[in-house]
Amino acid sequence: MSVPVTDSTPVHPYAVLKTSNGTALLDKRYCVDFNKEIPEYTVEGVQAYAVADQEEPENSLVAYYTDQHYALNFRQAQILQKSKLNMVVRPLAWWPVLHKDSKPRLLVVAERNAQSKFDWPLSDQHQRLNEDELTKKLLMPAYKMLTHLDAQNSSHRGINPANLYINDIAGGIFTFGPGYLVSPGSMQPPAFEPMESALADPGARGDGSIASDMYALGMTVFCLATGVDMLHPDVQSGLIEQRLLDGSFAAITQNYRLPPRVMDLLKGLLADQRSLRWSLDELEVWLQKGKVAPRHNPVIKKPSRPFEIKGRGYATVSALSHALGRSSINAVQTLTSNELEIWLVRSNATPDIFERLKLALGMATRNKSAASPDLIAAFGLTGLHPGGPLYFKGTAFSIDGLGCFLQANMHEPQQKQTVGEMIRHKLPLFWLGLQQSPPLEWMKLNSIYEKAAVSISRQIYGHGIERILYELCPEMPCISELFAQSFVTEAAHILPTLEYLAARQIPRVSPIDRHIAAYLAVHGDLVSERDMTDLSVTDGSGKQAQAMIHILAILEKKFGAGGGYPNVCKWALNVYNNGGSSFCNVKRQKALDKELEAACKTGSLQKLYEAIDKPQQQKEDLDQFAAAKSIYAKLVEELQGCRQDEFKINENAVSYAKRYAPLVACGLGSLMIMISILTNR
Amino acid sequence: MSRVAAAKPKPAKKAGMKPKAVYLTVIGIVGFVSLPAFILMLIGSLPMFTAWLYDDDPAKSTGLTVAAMNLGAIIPYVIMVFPHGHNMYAAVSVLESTKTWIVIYAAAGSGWVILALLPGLARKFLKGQLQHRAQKIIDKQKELIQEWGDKVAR
Repeated sequence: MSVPVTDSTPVHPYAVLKTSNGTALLDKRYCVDFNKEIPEYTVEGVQAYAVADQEEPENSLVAYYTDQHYALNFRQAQILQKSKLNMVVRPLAWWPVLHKDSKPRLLVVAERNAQSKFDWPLSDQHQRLNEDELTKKLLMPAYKMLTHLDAQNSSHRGINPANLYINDIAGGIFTFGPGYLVSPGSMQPPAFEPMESALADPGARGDGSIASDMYALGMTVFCLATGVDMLHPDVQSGLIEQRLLDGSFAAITQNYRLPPRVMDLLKGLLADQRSLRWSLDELEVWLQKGKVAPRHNPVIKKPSRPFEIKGRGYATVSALSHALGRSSINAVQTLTSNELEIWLVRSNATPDIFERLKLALGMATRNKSAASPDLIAAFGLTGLHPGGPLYFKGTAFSIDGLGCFLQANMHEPQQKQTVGEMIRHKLPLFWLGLQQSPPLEWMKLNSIYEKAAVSISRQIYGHGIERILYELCPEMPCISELFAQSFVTEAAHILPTLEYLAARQIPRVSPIDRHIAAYLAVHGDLVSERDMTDLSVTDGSGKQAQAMIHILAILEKKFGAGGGYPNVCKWALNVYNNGGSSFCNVKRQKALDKELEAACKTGSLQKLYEAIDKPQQQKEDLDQFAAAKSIYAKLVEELQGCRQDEFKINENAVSYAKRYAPLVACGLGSLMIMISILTNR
Repeated sequence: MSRVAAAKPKPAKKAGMKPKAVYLTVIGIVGFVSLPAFILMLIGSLPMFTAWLYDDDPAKSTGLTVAAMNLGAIIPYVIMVFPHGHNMYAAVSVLESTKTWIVIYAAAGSGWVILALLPGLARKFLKGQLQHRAQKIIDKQKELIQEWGDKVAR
């Protein structure tokens, strides 16, 4: 047994789980037994193991061991952790751990509120639930859970019959399995996703909203009421196309007879248009046996003949757009062909579709050098069917799915570039601009994408793809390489983690890298644009190191008591000294070095910054240095003059001799005359 | 033809003419005042005339140097003519003495010695002066480096 993780400080360093005897004690409380797997709690990509609570042994717990590091719905996990909800497998705590393959993973200990897993698919059709059972066992607890999540702008994103547990003690009501272990919606079968995200790739479906959960709840009601296994691959094949053709409600329920009230419920929950789908208020009215005013799903116009590609017909623009989404070359050929225009005219398409297409193709080719088939296809398909996902380079993204996709693929350069290109060419903004009556959360997304389009082109620290990642996924931990062994989910964790690292061995790189800068730019509005610009200066002027220390000092002021980071001080000082000195004058620099050493001993980054932040003195020093340099240059010139004179010395000596020889002779001659006169007297 | 080339010969001519005119004036005055002194001076100045003719330098530094030394030796003998009767006999008796010729020619020869030694002395003097100047500059540079570090020299 080992204690692999410490959480006594805000630092959460990863530690390799030593499971020689198959167990690990976490937080001196939870003993995870890796020998005892719990298959009924195991979900795709997540293993479940037995846990014993040593403080409260009566607690029934489960440990989820995810195969990913951070593709976890942190927001939902945090909300559920703080809640007292008992109709969901509630997470109690989580730890980052290093797996034996050295890849960081998460271990989540959660509460087991249910005694057994719901046995799906039904083995007996008599087990189907009637209206009362559905209300009591499924809809009431779902309503309670979703109301709690909705109040905090979160969603579950994992409601389906295979993710349900039964609480026998509470009269067989359902407990919802976790939705926080994987990227939002990525675990859901497409049949349980509303049209706005069902067409997107599982890893790019996005956070969605409570509206996505309402659709999944409707599908779950349908499954439990009819006993049809909508999770079965045979049932799912062709369902998307059917839903695109007839609408989800019609495609799913057309062959089944259900009580009128249940049909009303399903009609409300399975509406394809988000604005027509029932909200929690309407579900509440239905649960209280009230009558919800009927909403009519629009009739999908179908042309007299389908549009054919390679012998296969597509009856609606949504189906056509979905079919073209996977191949940019086919999409460009179709979008620019006369056949499409003729088909649209014959289909009595509204004039705006032609305008949208013209606008979309214009947007894609506005920068001719950058206009690639992928870009033309992406814009064109958005113009053709604005309700569909964003198709780019063979991947389909929900409008809020770029963040999840980037989160899971941040270490894949090509995928990272895909998202970067979409944002640079303002594809998400174009998509949002085409939406009629967009929900409120999309307004926020619009502002994020607007900022991101500017940020992606900026090379300085605090911008670029890293900034976009943290803007789109604010709950994500900072994935700086410095934190490969740590788990930093708040700006307040940065300094203690850096101190933890430096105490072991001071790294050779700067304590503020692009990821940390981007994380700080998004979290807390702590760092100014000027600091970010200075941080990017690499001219050896020392500005970069000064900005780095300034940022660390700001962090210390905001989150930590002064004087607690001696190792970060040493680290920062190392980088500072390598980046060039503050003063050119040797005496001044020596005095500063002494001051810095003293500040370093106190462990206060603020004092360290105060010591180097002397703009007036630095300016004077620079001016004086410039003057000294010019004097030195003149001296060098003079010395060169001396060397040249040395070469001419013989010539000059002859010239001097010629000039002064007559004078010397005159002097001697006069002397001779005087001596002669004096001796003759 | 350029203006520089056209202007070159004039100053050389002027510089050669002036001492010659002075000397001829002095000789003229001496000849007018005393013929014996004039003859003594004319014969004693032979090394000077030879040097003058030999010197192709426009400044006539060789001629002037030899002349100065030559005259320094002749003038005391010219003066000696006056107390001894100021006549041709006195002039001839001075010229007859071997000592007179040795003194006059030795003096003219020392003019040549001065011309031979002075460049070496001037070279030594100039070299010392140059070394002193260079040392002062190097000392100043060292001071600057001490105050501002090596980067001041970059």
